[in-house]
Amino acid sequence: MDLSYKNINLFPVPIHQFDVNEFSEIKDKLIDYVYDCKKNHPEGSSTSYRGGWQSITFSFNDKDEKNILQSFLTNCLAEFSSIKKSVNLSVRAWVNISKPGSYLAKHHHPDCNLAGVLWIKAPQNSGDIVFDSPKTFDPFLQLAKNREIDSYTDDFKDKSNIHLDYYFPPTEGRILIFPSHLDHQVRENKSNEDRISVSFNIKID
Amino acid sequence: MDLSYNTGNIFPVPIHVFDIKDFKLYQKDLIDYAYTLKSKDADTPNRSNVGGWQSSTFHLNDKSDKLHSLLMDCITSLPSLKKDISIYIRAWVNINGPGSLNVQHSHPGCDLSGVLWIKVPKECGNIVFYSPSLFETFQEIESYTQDFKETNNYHHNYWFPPIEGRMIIFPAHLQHEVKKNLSNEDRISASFNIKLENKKIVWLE
Repeated sequence: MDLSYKNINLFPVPIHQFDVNEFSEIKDKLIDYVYDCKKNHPEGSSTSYRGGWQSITFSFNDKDEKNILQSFLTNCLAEFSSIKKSVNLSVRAWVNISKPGSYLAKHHHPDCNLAGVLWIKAPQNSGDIVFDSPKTFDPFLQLAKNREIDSYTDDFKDKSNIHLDYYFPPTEGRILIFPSHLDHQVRENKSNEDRISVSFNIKID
Repeated sequence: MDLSYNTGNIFPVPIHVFDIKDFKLYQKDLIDYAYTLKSKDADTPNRSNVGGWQSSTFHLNDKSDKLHSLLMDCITSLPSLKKDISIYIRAWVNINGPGSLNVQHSHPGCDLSGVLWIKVPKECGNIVFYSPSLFETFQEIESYTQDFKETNNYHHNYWFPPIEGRMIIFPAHLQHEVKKNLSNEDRISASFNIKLENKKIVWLE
């Protein structure tokens, strides 16, 4: 039999990646901004961060061009070219300082559509972000999904990015934006320095 | 700002597509096979079909049988499956007369499902797959540009027109339907369910 084979991948989870070239020019200013935030509000927000500090959330709706972080993120999001021009994005953000030994337990971001992170300071081994393949509450269905993935060759899984989970090492000057329903966690900061990032939620209007 | 932007896709739903290039050599025999089966097995209950006929299911285990052997040869050629995976297949034949369709459904109790299109007149009914994250991703998908959605196969649903000699294999959990046969002729196909078993599993005594 004369047979040809191809594979078509549908309904993926898109991860949007922005890399700010020459990030080193602004990095120190952003780091200072974050430590000032912590100094002004040391209590932060009570969250699932184990051992780290998170600021309270702030809105981007009131454009404050003097605010270095808001201005930076607003300029980055203006380049989000896969979103239609007619769509309005409402952003709420917060700042994270993960000291050595801290980590972020598995969670997702309800009541928004997209979520994201900007890595400002990311020492080596300071904690990958790990996304879980979308899960189902039906244990039989989940077993079938796991068995399907497990039955594929490593080569196929790697080429198609079909895995039970997928991780990104933090990279300074990089922004990742992902669907907010996606379960994710941040691994333990095993470095000797703080890991500094900004997280944000995007509501689509 | 000097920024680079790109998107990577993770956790897609893989659709495996086989094309039997010399299908004309098999087509007439398979059509006769389907009608002969129907004449012997006419009173089967309806399942997802509305107005069509589905045969009883049968194990694919007879290499001397034309349909068994064709389906087994294709399915066992699936290059993305590990070599040490055992597969168990149950199949059935469908004859959807003019006006008939298959309502939205999935195939519980197995891991992969598939269809081989044997006779498909024009407009005899596309197969439509629905995103497993339809509810969570609705607004997100709506916000993307058409170009982005098409480049990434990121839609609420996705359809394949039936093509004679084509077989598609998809995860059994994926909700799908077959649209109404708007032609004046029968639409003939063979469907199947695959159970996967990893031979490496060691059962405890």
